[in-house]
Amino acid sequence: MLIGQSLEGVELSITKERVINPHLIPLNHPREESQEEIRKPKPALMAAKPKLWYFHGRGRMESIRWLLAAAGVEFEEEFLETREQYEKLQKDGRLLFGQVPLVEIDGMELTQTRAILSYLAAKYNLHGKDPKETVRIDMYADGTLDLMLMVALAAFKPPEEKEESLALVVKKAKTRYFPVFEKILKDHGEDFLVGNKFSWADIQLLEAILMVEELDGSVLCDFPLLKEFKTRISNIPTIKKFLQPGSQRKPPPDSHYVEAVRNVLQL
Amino acid sequence: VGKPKLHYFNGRGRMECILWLLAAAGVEFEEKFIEQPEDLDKLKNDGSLMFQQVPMVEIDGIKLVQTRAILNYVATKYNLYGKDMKERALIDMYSEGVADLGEMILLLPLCPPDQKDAKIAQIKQSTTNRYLPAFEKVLKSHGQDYLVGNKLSKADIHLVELLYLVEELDPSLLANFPLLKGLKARVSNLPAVKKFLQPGSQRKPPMDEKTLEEAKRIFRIK
Repeated sequence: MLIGQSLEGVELSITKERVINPHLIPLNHPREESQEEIRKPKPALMAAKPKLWYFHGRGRMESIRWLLAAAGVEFEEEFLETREQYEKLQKDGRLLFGQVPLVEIDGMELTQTRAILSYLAAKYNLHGKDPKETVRIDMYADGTLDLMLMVALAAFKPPEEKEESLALVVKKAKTRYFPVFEKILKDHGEDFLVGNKFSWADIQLLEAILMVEELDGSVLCDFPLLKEFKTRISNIPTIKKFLQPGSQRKPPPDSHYVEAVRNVLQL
Repeated sequence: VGKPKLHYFNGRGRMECILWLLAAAGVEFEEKFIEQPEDLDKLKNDGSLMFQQVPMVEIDGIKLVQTRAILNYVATKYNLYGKDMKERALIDMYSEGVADLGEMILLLPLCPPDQKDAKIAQIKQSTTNRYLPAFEKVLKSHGQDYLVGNKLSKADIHLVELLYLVEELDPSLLANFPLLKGLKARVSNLPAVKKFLQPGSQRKPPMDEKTLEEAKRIFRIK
């Protein structure tokens, strides 16, 4: 279960070491928070690694993987491969709205991608130092998330519509999103998007850049600062490691993935 | 420091949940309605809209966009976001569920006529089989007056707003959810919400043909 099958030449396995870079990002210690019982109290799992439940591919879980990896957090994954697994999760009452992603963390069973991402960002000090920084990070992250979800959903469309959707993603990236981030970096001249400090917004932007580059390799040609940003963020040790073969990063969706999802969700 | 200023067209759309939250928090706000496509162009051209989209809310010297970012900022500012990270996670999880169903209802007017009946049936099914049972169960599990931490939060406000939408679609949908009905009544009776629910408030009516045509014209939707 822990070693995934080989997909497009990428061997998937659980990261063994925890990589911390004291120079580029601050040591991310989880904040001390009140230990309230939320849904199902699981004292034994309080200190355990986060556990991710999803299909064996990017979808709506990938941004969560990126955030955990960038924060240097080891996590486990359970892959949904059969209808029975999914029905069991539902029957056990672990999916609030009957949907994945599901992340077990700190005694909670969290669903809803954005809720999970916000919690992780706060927990690992990647959500700004005050509400004004937090809202900027939210604006930037929400924008990039919108763009990446378009790519995730395109995989499930008929071929012609899929091509149209992906072309639209590239267009929006070039005309709506990337110019904004290029300008932000230009205006403050700092290394990171918000507050001169590495945050969730930087992780999302790098993920989005790489995703759009997979669709059109030339997409950054008019954005010199984003090119530098891409190199800089990619070189952060935790991220560098995540970008190497053997990490828990997932490949772009292919027909095999789409079929597997359709099968499990009976779409 | 002036009142928050909301930029949108004169209809519910994606701004209405922001109105509800501000109103429930007892915050006075101004609205600048976009009435022509040119008004929207002007906002885009003067750099007011980060991703060329509305809603946009001017608050505390920043021009905020992205509905969720705006809602979370307002919730933080007016103490409607729980007392710690874990409560916030639950509030977010519940709010996102509300947003998912709300989105289906929001987009209904744009549905092609021949698909509308099927779409409505699907929405009703999701309402009674997926979303309302989940929230009823949360309230039942702790027996408290509000969804999270025994205190009013944005999750309650978003949910009650949704319950009004569900009621507009089909009142019978709420029949088997006594705790949700209780929450709806309780939140509706909070002075700020009660005021907002009365005629003459800034609350917007359901979308009619005229408003739909106006929205399509302003946003250049075919």
